[in-house]
Amino acid sequence: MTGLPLLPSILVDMLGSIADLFFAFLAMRYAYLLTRKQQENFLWGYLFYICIAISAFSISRAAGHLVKQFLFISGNNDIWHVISPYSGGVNTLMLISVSAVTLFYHKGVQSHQVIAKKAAKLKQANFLLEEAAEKMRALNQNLEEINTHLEEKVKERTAELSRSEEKFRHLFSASKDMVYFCNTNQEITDINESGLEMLGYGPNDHPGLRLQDIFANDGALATFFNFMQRDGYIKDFEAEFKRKDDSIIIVLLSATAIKDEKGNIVSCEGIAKDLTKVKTMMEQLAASEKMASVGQMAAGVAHEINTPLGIILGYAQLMMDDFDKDSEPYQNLLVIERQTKASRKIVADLLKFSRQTGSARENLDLNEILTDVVAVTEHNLHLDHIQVHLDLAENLPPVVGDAEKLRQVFVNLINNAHHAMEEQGRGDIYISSWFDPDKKQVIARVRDTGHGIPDDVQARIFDPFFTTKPVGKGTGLGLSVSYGIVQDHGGIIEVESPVQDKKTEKTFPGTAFTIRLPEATDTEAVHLEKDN
Amino acid sequence: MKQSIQQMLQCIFIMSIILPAMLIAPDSAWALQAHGAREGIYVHQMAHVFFFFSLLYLYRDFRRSTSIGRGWNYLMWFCLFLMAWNIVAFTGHAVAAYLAPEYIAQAASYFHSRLIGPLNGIKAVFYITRFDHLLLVPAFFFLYMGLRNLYISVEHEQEASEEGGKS
Repeated sequence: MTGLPLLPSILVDMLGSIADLFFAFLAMRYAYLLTRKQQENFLWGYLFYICIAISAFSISRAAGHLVKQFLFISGNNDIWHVISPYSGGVNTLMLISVSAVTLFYHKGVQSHQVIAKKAAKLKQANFLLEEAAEKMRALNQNLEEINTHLEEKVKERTAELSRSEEKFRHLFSASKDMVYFCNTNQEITDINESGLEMLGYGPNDHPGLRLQDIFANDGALATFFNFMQRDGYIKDFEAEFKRKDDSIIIVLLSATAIKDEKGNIVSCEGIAKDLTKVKTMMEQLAASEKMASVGQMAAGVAHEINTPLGIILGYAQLMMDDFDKDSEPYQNLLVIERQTKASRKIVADLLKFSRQTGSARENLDLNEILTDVVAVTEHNLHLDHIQVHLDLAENLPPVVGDAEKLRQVFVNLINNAHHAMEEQGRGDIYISSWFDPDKKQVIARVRDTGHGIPDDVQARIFDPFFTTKPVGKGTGLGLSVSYGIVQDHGGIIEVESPVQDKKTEKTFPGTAFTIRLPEATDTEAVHLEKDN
Repeated sequence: MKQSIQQMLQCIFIMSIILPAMLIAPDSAWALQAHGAREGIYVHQMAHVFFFFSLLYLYRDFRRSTSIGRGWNYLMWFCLFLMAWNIVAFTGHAVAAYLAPEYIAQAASYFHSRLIGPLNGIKAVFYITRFDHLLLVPAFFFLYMGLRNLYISVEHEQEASEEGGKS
């Protein structure tokens, strides 16, 4: 029998089918591993799909072939004829499927390339963005550093400014002199509390003052402006300022004009020092000097007059013995004697004022002197409905002095107080004493509730022969003599009118005389006699 | 909107009458096309042609666009062998149509079956094409080798990049 055996082809078909399955599944495994390895890679995914299709194809084909071979081997050809169309159909379907998947490779790759290109662009853009972000971050960091530094600088400068502002604000507000700022309209834009107080306003007042409101003298204001225009400043300018209550204070003014870059005055600032008290003190000092001169002169005059007066008095008295008491010459001589004695008293007072009379020095209790004086004068005071209030400190240290002269001082003061309240028909006299341990002074004070002493008179009250009393009521030597006695005792006499209570700061009408005497340092009595 | 709903309802009504009528009386009057036994082999052969050209297209793409490497070379070989197999299979199916079933003599055992002579060109081609696995198995082998090599190269690349990253 000629022909070709089909056994080789059968064997190749069976073994080939098995090999197909084996390699197809191995390929699919590696394709799967590739997709696991690089999940984002489209190609591996695509190859995996091809492998799945190939494997399915190999299953359909190899399984079909193997079943066919086994059925033929077993002689069940009829069964195969039944299965065959299904196997062939599935095989054809797989073939088409593999073809379809394969065909789409190109488009898939193209799409992938486009996507990859876009992804690359995106990546590049992302990279550029990240780079930009990094730069921004660096810039931001720099900015933050600068910012932090700047904040620190600002804080530092602010603190410096704050300190400086605080310093100048403190200088402005704590200054005891007036500090003010004004604008070109001469309006005072800012003024410190001391300035307001100096002008008689409260710390919370906003009087809206102008320079012409506070300058008492228009001429001084014009001078002030002339200096400011010409020199841009004015220094130690003595001017009078008008207070709220129209009283006048004397100030020492220094001011500076503030100019803009064109040289125009835009504002001014100034400092004014109240010289009123200094002026008063200067006047008092001048008066004191004057009184010292007057005292010396009076002492000389008194000394010269005393002798002739003694002679006149002596001769007058001698002549009086020669005439009958009812005769006219006797009466004339009596007048001479009386007037001569009056003149001698004036001379004696002048000598007392100039401390030219002798005086005793001993340890004294000021309270005793005050009590004695009150005892003597109280009766007369009561007649005019004047009450005396004694407030004497206990255990007052002794002072050294002449008891008689000090009594005379207090009698003078009480008499003056009496006269001051005589017209009003009633009043009070407060007499007090205390000890100032810091200054080691024993202090006595006599205060009345009378009409007080006008400011313009206060500087002259200690002048000899100065009096406000009607003619014949006083010689004008009382306070002068008292001044002299207190000076002679190493003390000070001060006058205050109206009187201000230091505790309550309330002002009362009336006058207060304060005498400060040094505390006795030596306990032994000192007796000094100084003859005229 | 109302109009379109009415049209849809009319369609459903018509179809609900036609479809049961077609099932109950599938007469030639309904012009249904019949598929004869030969259609199967034609479709199968066309599938081989389709598969061939799709592989040719894939091969062309591999050559044109894919990266160079041993793995891709194996895949190209896979395409070539599979294309060759398609030709062989197509030829085998074609010649089988010209070969009468009695030319294969089946003895007592299937293993002893023979292609009855005398041999002519058709029989020879038929006989050769029965060894199509000699092309299909290498094709699948190259597919396996291609993917394996690609996997190994990717693995090496990753290792290299990891080492580069570490250093």
